[in-house]
Amino acid sequence: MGSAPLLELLGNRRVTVEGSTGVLLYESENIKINTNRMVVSFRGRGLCVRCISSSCVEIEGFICGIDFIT
Amino acid sequence: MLVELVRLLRGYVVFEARGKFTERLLNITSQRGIALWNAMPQPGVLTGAMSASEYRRIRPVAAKAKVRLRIKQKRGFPFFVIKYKPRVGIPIGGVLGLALMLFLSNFIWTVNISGAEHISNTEVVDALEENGVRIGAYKGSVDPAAVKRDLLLKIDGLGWMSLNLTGSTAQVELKEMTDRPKTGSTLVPCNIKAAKDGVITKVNAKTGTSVVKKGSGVTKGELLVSGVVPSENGINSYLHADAEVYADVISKLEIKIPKSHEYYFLTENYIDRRRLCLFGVELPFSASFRSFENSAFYQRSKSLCINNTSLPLGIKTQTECEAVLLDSSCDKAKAEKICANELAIYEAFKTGGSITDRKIKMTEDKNSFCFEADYILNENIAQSVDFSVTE
Repeated sequence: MGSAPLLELLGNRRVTVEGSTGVLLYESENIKINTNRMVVSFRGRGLCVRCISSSCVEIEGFICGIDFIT
Repeated sequence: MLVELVRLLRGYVVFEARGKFTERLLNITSQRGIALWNAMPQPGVLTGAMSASEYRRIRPVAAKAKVRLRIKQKRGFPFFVIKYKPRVGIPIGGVLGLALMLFLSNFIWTVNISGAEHISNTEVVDALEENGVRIGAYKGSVDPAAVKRDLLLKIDGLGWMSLNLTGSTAQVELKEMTDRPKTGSTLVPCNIKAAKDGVITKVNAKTGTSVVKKGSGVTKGELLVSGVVPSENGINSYLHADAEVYADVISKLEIKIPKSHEYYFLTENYIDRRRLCLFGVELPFSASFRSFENSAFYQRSKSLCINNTSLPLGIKTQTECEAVLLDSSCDKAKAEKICANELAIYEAFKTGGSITDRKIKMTEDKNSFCFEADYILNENIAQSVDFSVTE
């Protein structure tokens, strides 16, 4: 559990992912974030990365769905 | 907003990255701690913004991510400086202009005088200039309190003044003295005495005892109506005597009119000489070496005015008018006419009462006509003179 990513959602408009290791897919309808254990996929429209650091990503936009891909 | 301001000061670029794997660029920048913002995904293209110094570092790394970087926009202060670097005169001129404004603001640019109705403005300006308050004077050398003391002593009729140095304007406010109203207290005992020599024609004593009557000859200072009234029990009462005493008074007037005299006549010829005035310094800018043999001068000045505020920049024009010496002669008829005019003015303005008689005698010598007019005027010669009851 310690290495699992931490997702903080602000409604369906903003999400902060802590524990990310990089961006795998970057599109306005789909953003995939790589973490240690899984890949988290965000579906929606108008998605963009608000800010990104070595271990944290903040995504903004209209989020319609979140998939956890192991 | 502060973040945006810092970004503008440091300078940043808006770029686009084209390639198959634009996500790699995002990962590389995040791993290297490079700040990237406004990352917008588009098919095959990633647009974003980054500071200029970090963009230089990321360029070689972008090749690893197999993306091609292209700058779309450069924004911020460093790019502004680079753009206007050849035009170095603009910032230098701006700094010099600002320094000049700061320096000149320590001097007086205008002197405004308000409140002078009967006192001449020229007199006030001259007095101020003697105390160092003039256009172009250094503000630090002006002592308002000392100027106030000096002006109150020098200018007659000045009751109060203040000098305020507001910005570069010397604001002078004046208040003139008002004449003390004559109260004429009826409680103060006084006599009525003769103001002039004459022969009494009428006495109208309202209070007091008359000591003269019609036909009496009186000299100047003689008692006419007494304010001391003796009573039956021997105690005197002291009154404020009030009376009108009319007398025939002799007045003489002598008028001498020369037979010929010289006078200067101004022709239509003139020369204008202009000077540029800047902060009290006058620079001539019209050269005219001509001059008339006899001339009269007058001067006028015009200052630049912006928004009802006059600035210490103007033009002073000195005009030299040609004057020609002419000779005029006067015959007897002309002299009599001049004398008649002079007498008319004297009778209209200088005589206090009615004219009973007038005799005019004319004598002539080598150079002039001399007229002697003897008037007998009937006027009020009563003059109140206070006295002390202890005398």
